[in-house]
Amino acid sequence: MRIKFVRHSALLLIAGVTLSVCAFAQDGGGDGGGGAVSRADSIEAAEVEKSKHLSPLEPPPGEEKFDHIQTDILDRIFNPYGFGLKFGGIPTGGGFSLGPRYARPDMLGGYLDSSTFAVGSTHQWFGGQTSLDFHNLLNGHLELRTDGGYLDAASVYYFGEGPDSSKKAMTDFGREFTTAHFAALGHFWDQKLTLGYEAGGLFAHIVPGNRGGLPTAEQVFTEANTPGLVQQSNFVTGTTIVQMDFRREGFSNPRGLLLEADDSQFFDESGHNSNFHLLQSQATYYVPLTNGMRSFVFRLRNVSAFAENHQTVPFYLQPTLGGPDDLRGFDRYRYYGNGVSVASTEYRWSISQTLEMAIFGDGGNVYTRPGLIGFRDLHGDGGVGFRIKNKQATVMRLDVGFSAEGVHVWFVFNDLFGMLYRTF
Amino acid sequence: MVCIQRSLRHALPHVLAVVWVSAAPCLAQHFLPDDPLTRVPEVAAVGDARVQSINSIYDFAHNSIDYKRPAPSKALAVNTLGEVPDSSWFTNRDISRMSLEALKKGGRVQGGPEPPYTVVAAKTEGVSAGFRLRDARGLLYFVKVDPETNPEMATAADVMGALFLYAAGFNVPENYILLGREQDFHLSDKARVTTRTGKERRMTAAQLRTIFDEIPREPDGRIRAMASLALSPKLAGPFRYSGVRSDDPNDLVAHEDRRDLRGLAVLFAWLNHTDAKGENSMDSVVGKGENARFLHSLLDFGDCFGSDSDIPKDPRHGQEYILPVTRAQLQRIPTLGFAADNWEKVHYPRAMKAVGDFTAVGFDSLTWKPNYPNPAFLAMTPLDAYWGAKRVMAFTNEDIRAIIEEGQFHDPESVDYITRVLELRRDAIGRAWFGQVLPLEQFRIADEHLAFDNLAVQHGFAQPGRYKFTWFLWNNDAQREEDFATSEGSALPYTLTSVSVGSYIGCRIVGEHDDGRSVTVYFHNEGDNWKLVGISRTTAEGIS
Repeated sequence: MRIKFVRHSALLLIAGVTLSVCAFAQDGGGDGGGGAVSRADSIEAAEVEKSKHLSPLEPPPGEEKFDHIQTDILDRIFNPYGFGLKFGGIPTGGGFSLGPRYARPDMLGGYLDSSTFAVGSTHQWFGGQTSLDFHNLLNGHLELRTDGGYLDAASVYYFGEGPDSSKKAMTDFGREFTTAHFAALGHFWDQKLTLGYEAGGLFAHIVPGNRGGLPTAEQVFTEANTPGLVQQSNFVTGTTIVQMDFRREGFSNPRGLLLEADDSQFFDESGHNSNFHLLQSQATYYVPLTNGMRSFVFRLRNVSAFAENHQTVPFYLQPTLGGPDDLRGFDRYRYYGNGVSVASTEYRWSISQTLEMAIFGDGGNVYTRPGLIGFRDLHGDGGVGFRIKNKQATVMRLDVGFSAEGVHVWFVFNDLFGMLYRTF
Repeated sequence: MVCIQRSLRHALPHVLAVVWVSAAPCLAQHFLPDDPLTRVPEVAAVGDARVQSINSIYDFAHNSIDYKRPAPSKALAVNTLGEVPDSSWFTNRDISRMSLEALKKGGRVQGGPEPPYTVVAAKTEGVSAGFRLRDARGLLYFVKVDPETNPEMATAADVMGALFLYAAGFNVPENYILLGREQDFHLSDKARVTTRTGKERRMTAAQLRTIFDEIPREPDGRIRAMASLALSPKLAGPFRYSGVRSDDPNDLVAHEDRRDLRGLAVLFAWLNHTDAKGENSMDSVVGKGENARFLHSLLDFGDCFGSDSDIPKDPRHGQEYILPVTRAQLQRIPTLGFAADNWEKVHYPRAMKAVGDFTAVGFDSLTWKPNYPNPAFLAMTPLDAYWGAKRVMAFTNEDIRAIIEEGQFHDPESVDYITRVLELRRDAIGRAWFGQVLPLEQFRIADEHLAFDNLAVQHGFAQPGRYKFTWFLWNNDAQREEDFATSEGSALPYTLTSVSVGSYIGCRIVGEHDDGRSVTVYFHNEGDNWKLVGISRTTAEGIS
């Protein structure tokens, strides 16, 4: 077949050149007579010549190869529907994670999405989840979802509680959470207001961390100063969710205000006196400039854990500060406390529709008592970031944070100013 | 061996183009009896036409990453006047002679869909929701709708864009605004829907209901959509903006060298049609047996003007490529974005939802860009752009308004606004590209004087000026200028008035400032008149 093609091409080459030469040689000097070849004749001859040597359509060589790669590999890996590979799926700090996934977003006429995955990471973290999401019910006003999951975070940093914890006191622990939740969410006011309640259960199991070279938490801390270190509880949880989303679509970023709050009540079913509330609240405000080609983004977040009388908040469910989503110049989980506040500001400027840069500053503090807000023991950082964008969504970001505790580089696949999410 | 094969395969279009080069105007013209050609013969019948597909990810990535502007090269598929002859790609339509009714009608013959409408399939590809229907006559239409946030925006753009490009000479589908009552739509028993998983399955009434729920309504409750009549039943997939179709015997010129496709960039810039990718085109086979020929059409104009189909246009559209491949984009990294370009600060008429983000402020037709590099647009020279600009400038204010009215906007202010913006963008195009060449047209010799029109003067972009004329006898056999005579005036020199019938004469015209821009015209003595047979131009940069 290919030899035939070469032969045809060669013939065509000769024919084409000959024809073009003939077009000049036969011309009668513009007198319109004699043996003059017309313009149309020469084109007709070329068309007839090509018609004798037509070949099937072939994409450019690179595209043909890419087609194969896409069909045989990429579509199977990244195909969001059916069997595929899941990238991520565990909290930051777990390293690069990967595993099988099965997703069906088109069940029950498109009203039911389901997803199941199991992943393992380079840091030996493991996780899995299965979920069902009934959406667009009652003309878009009702959403029902349920999920069950397991996460084995093999090495989570712990420095002790409070703002004065020393970086030198770094330890780690392993955290196994097994969860099940059911949520009912109502969407009102043109989807701007969401109210919901989520009931669930949490089985926690704390084990020594597996990171070599670090003491484990129970080697340094005790149950007395770190509740939950030895005695873990099983919880029934109930979370009330309120979201008011006044954001509108923008080009690089949305515009407007997003207010979120959720209050989770933890009922200790193990008799270890760990009944408490975890209240998360967050306000995010996007201010676009120059048609959204630049944006200022502000975020205030407070997370407070309120223990009931004579009860304690287990350290593994305490709010934390530090890492790629809040204080980017500090280690992950650098500070633990029953009250955490953080303010972040970013100035973002668009390089192209697919690339955005940002300079940012974060400031935050932790209190051992919940509900306090102030500037005492404030920790701050600054930095610069690159974001790969798909319209206003951040596909991935590279943030470099600078603080008194050093330089931290984060490469993550989420939006810093994303919605509040459940941490258990 | 494989390398040789690949080289030959790549060389094929260029080899065939050699034939066209002989048919194209060169600086040293060589005229044949049927010059200037007005129609490409296209005599060979199409055989087994396969459906071409373009991998959208590869096309985007390859053209973006491999982005480089090629060295200027002559456009092909042109006649000796530098014009594009009629062909399966392009038809010369004299806009100045088209009535407003003809402009409004465009190539629309069948009329919009007639009720009752039978929905036969829903499409999931593309940005906006849509479906296919057969009307009472059994005609198949592709139906697209507006985003809820911007009623009328995308549907109007699709209709208006098609009408402008049809009048300019390109093949487009018949696009109509469809205003239908919901009870006139019925779901076919055999209707299929392509799910997000890529599988086809039976379409349900609930799915149609979901689509209808998202369609903006007219004040009287009717559904507004855009219905595009299906092209010939034998579709052969989109064309590429580079290379040739190896299964089309009449496709001899590499597409990136075609003047009609290069100059299309100027029309797209005018209409702000940024989604200028091969996928938004369609080759179809018309005729049967010995009469079967490819027809090359442009498709999908829902992202023209201020519309980006499902949302208003991003201000970066038309100004920058999606990937940061230009120096200007990369220079923003160290400047922290503090040096904002003019186009970034533009005020859009956001109160007029049907308009989307459309403006003439910050519009520069010399630097306008589609979403990602298009090989034919990158190869465009000022002469190709001049060809395109002539098409744009042919639309009068009344012509523009007439076509915009076909968008069927409720708010007359939307018509006024888009018309005004198009007028301003049109003039910006004329001013920019007519300044790159000596924009002289309508050459004729009457009373032994050479006469012509200066388009820049005609449109008020320049003051009338003086010219220098260099006359010569053209030896067509030797392709050589002889017997020069320079004159300050346009009068035919005495020595050339008595040349024999069948002879050729020529005249090189330069402006009084002699800035390198020139036009050389060639006439054939046909006894009772001088026939214009050739025009060649040079730009200030010496591109010819």
